[in-house]
Amino acid sequence: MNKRKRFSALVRSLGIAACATSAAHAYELGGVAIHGSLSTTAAYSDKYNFLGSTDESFDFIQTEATVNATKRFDNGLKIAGQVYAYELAGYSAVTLDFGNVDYSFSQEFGLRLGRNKTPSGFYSEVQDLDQVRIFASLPLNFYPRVYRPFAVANDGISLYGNVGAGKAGSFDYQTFYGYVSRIDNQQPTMIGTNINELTPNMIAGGSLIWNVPVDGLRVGYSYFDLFGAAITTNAQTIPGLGTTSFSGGLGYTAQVASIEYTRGKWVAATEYKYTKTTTDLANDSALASGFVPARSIPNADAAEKDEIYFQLTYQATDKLGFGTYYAYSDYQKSTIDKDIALATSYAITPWWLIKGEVHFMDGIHEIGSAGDKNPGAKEEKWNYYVVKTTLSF
Amino acid sequence: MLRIILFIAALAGLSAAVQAADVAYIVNAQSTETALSADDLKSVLLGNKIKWDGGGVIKLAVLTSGPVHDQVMQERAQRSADQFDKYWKKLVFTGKGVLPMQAADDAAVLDYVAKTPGALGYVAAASVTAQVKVLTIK
Repeated sequence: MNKRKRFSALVRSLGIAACATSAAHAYELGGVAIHGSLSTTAAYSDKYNFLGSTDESFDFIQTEATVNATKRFDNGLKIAGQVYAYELAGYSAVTLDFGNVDYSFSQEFGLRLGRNKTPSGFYSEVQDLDQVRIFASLPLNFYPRVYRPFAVANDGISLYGNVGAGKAGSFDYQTFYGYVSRIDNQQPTMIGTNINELTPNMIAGGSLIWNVPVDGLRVGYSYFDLFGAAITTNAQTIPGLGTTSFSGGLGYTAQVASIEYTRGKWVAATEYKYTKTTTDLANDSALASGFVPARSIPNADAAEKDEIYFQLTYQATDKLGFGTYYAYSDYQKSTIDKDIALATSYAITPWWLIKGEVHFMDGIHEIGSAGDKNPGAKEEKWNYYVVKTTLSF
Repeated sequence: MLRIILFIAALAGLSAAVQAADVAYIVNAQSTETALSADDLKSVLLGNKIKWDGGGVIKLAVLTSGPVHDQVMQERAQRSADQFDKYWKKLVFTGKGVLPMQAADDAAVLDYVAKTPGALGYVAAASVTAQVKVLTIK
């Protein structure tokens, strides 16, 4: 066990022990409500290293700790902040997940200033929140963990509200405009996409959710445009010829259509996502010459992507739940990934969850998303097993 | 056999009584509010409406379990108690809401509402005391 893993194991042990002794209740200090959670995830694959050393071995691929504090004043002004610390695929960081000042002028119109969560689909904002779902992980390719830093939050302004529509139900809306924080060069995404430097960039978009006048049914659409990013990358040429430098701009748009229907203990959901990545690189000739494999340029081989998944969960008892999904990702210029997942979740106590799931994968497009740890990978079919435990208060 | 039939009938009667539990929506005695629409009540329960029409922040108190809580969640929030709990966790962990005061029983709700200007809660109608005011739901 190397030094990093010893440190991680120590943090996990201390954190779990600390939470286990105090997790049953939220805290309130001077009118400030404090909540938090701690989770650790281990994974095993029969063939590949995915987000860790998982090739025929169990590896702790991810540890997450979240603490948030919220205070609402008597005039309605709210201040909230959340720290999110994580270790993923060997990379660790402590981040400000959100931190904003929020004022609701009316039910129909509110304003948030500061670092706001970026909505994309029904679940991007709660992708770290284990307590609200049965799965240990959201659909792996639809909500990829390594891309989280790109679009999880933005520093800017957000307008939001809930507008009644009489017999047609109601609509929840959010719009936002802001900066995305600089992405650390050592972050798994950067390694996986071969980007050396990514400067801060802007993001704008919104989400609209229609609360249909049918109990349990909601329909949503979200859109965001990440623009103005500048990148440099040293792409590997064909073996033996070294690297070639590229610089230029990177743009990314994502559109998600979502439907969720809850009836009793059942929740059915489906989401469709279309993403488009545009690169404006200054060394296109090198790419055109064929000396640079397309995969070594960020998203050069995945300029457009269509993804869809269908998910069904059943909360059998207060403690026990089951879920399954089928996900399909079409990388239009290269390949298709499919993922069938089965999951179960058990609440040992109201604040202590354990989860297990298995993914039957068909496709390997994303196995290098945190860096190429599987040289020569060709076998399309592989299995991925995940266990996770979460403590919360 | 007769005993079994009577037992089942008694259970059914008990179940119906629980399902039909009278719920009282209560506010602080100093509140000038007298009524709330069903749509507004749902908006309050879901954290969309945080201010009284007459001004001031609504300080919501909810039960954590029990037949009254289940009934209010189903009839007014159109969610199960578990779904309501998860809904609020989503709001809290995304910076969009402040968790309502959570009470283990009617007495705790009554105590909170009686002592907190702007508070709104719900209890079994039979539990209501003179320290709080009952709100009409239209």
